[in-house]
Amino acid sequence: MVLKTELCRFSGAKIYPGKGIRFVRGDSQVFLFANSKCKRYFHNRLKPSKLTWTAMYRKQHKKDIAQEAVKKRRRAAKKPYSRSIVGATLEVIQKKRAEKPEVRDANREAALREIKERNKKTKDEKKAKKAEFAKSQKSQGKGNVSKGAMPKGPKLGGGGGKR
Amino acid sequence: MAAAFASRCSRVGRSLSGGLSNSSPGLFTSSHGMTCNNLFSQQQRTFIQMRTVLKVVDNSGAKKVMCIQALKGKKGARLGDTIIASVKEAHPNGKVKKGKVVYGVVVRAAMQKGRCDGSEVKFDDNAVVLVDKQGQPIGTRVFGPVPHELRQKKHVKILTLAGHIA
Repeated sequence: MVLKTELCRFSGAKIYPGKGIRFVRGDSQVFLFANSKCKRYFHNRLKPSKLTWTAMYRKQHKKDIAQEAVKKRRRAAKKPYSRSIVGATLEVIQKKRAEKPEVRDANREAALREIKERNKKTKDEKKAKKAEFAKSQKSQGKGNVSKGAMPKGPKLGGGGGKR
Repeated sequence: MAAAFASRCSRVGRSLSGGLSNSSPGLFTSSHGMTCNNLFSQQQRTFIQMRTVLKVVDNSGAKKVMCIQALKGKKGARLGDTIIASVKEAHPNGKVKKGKVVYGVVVRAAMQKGRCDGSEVKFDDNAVVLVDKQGQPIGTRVFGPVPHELRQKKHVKILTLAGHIA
């Protein structure tokens, strides 16, 4: 059976079930006191840090160093774990992780080379298209007969205006 | 020695310490000042009895009421008890007017009250929520903390309206 103990707000002492005074302040803050001595000192506005028997004083003046030397719990580092994501199953990820750096470099270079070749091919295609387009334009230009030169300058006697 | 004597004098009363301080200046000044300062915090809190002025912590319209009858017990009312009170101060446009005799439930009392687990609970001030004869609250809101002992007294409506249950 576990006893639910609480701490005194003044002295820091443990308050066991059936003991203690609960004081509720106007701002809904609850204070627990171990006994009437703590309650009286609190209401008289005595500072617990100035009374030698309180937990606050002992903590401030480093009285319980032997007991307080508790090992700092080292947080266990989270183990990175893999799971499948969209576009790559777990087997593919594991395979990629396991492959050697030389193989990886070779694969990367091959991929880069392929991309370069693809870019080159598209450029060549574009050039060929442009040349073809220019040729067709030239042939069209020879066939058309130009009209007489239109007189430059403003029109004289524009019709259809308001009287 | 001097400190012990001073504390004894302060317990006896103000007049004695005041009289002694004339003959020996500086001996009782600190002690006397402290007793005067903490007189209110150290005084013995007692029952809510006839002529006790209580704060009204709902929006019924009353501000202060004075107890004229505790409806339970010989000595007076405590936390969760019902009292009859007279309205001493009220808001000008509230439901309750000054001079009206009303019923009220004590929701906060400065006198400590034992709980079933053995601990004690006490509050900063004496406060009531005004109710009708059937025990239904007149107001629609309750301000500040209220104790959960009201559940035993069948004032569940007050608990539901309360903002903080201690």
